[in-house]
Amino acid sequence: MARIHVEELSKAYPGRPGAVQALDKVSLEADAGDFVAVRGPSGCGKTTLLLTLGGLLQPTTGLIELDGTQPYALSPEARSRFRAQHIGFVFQQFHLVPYLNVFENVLAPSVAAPVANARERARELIERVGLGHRADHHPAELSTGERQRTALARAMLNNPKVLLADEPTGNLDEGNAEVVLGHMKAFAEDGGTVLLVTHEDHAASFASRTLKMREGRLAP
Amino acid sequence: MHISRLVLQEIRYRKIDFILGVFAVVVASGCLVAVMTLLRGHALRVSELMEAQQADTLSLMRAAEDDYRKITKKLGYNILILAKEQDLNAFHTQGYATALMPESYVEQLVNQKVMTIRHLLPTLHEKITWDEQDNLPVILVGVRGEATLAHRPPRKSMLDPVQPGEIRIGSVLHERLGLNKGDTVRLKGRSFTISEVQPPRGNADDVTVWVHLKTAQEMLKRPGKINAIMALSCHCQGAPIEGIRKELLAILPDTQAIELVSRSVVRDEARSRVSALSRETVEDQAEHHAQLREAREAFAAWLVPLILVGATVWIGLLTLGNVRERTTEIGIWRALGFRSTQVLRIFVTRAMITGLAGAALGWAGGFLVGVLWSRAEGVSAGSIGAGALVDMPLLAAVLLLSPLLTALASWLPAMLAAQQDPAQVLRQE
Repeated sequence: MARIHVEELSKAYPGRPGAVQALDKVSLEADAGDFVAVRGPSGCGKTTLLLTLGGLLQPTTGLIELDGTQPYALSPEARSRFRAQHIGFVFQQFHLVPYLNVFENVLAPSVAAPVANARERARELIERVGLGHRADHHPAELSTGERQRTALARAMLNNPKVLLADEPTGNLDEGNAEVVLGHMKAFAEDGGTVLLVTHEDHAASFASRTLKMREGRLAP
Repeated sequence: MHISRLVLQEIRYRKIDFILGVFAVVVASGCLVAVMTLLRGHALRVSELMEAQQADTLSLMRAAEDDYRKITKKLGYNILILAKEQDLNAFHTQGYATALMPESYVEQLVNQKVMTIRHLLPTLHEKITWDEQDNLPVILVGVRGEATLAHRPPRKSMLDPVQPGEIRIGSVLHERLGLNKGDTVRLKGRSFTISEVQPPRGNADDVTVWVHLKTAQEMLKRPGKINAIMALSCHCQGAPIEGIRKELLAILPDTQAIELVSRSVVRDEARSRVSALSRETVEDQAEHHAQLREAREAFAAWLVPLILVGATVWIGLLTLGNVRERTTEIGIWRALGFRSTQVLRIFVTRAMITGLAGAALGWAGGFLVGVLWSRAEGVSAGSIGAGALVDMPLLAAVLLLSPLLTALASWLPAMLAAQQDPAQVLRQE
């Protein structure tokens, strides 16, 4: 069974001039250890695909299975719990909580769902992304690269099976981008599944497979 | 990590928002506490004043009643015990009783615990002619010292007894016969020294001579007999003439008792008037204080709810602002797997902390204002200290209800936050 199984997935946004077809019968599969990059121009539906896969955006039609579970068959509360236990998100804008320090930001997902030895796991991840000396610092005191590494550590706290990354290197310099992508690659090599949405060639080069997206459709 | 940690960190981060929220609660709870403290001070002060007033009044009443008792006592006896066969028609037309009864009746009363009367004075009346004074008609009255009731402490006699060999005469006799104190006169063949001349009284007493009872009995050949016992009723509540009659008849069945109404009415009215006036004074003061309290309560009745509603709306709007400011953050929480109920809890917990902090500060501030206000109005004076104004149930109510109120006020905005679509925010980012 594939870790990610998407079949004939469509998503249309209602609008006054007419519905906007963000996803049009998208199908894809990714197994454990896969690092899949989805490339395409702005507005092609990459983020919609990511949010739909993450259980945050109900598709119009189609089927999604993550590790054998159909998230949209679950109640909203159960879907949130499923997301907390199985999925990690990384965003281009980092989206760290400004009033929490690095350690607390990384620890935050444990509020949504219990994580075994959460504090030790958070410290370990912070060390792993090279921010041990920054654990007590707040996001405003960090560089952009450090912020994204914090966001990455946060995404991995709950030992997710799937990591969904939306342009994670869009605001980073090349050096920091390499560090972040390197961690994501390592995550995949450890048995995780990464779906990276990007428009950068360099970022896509870290992926084991790259898919192109145009006007809501995927092409190999 | 717990949600409360997130909330506290957020509060530290957005201090101004929090302070504005707390301020709203401080104003609301402070107003409530200040007003309630003032009312409590007022109630305590009134109670204190009333107690003092009542104590003063009681003391004055006792003093006044004693004065009246002494004054009214001078009005003389107000109960007359006569032989049962005494015709009252004859008694009133003649002015004295003619039917006789044993003098020993007095001793019988003395030895019983009679509660309704005191000052027993046995007398023997009879109209005679004073042979030695040109057969002048006079009233001869035999009296002796007052009998002391066995169960009562001895009291000063209301009428000085006439000693054997002495005679007391009325004022008309003194003037008409030219008799004076110390003169020796003869009556019915007996010699007497005038011990006293009675001042004019305007009644039969002015033509009366008083001798010792035993002497009178011998002169009238009525040994051991009397025809009246004068008594003073005690001023006891519920001791009207019927009660006295009942008690007397139980001891002396062959007697009757009549009340000298005019005297007793004067006595009772005089003594009752004192207590009535005192009661009226206390009641007037109580009514005045009650009116003041009602005015303050009426003021509080519209002020406090108005402030509470205002504070509730304020808290609601502040929470709505907080929700709007944190739209992206809410989206992140949802992306991290926070359930909508957890998002709701974040905002409601924040509101409750705001309420609790505001309640504590509001109570302290309100109490201080209440104490100062009380002192400024002269309400909290006397022995009422600030400690007495502390209302523990009010403190508990404020500390419990304020967080509840702020939670309710923030419920709608928190629900909006919980229902917010995270994808909409994250897609726009």
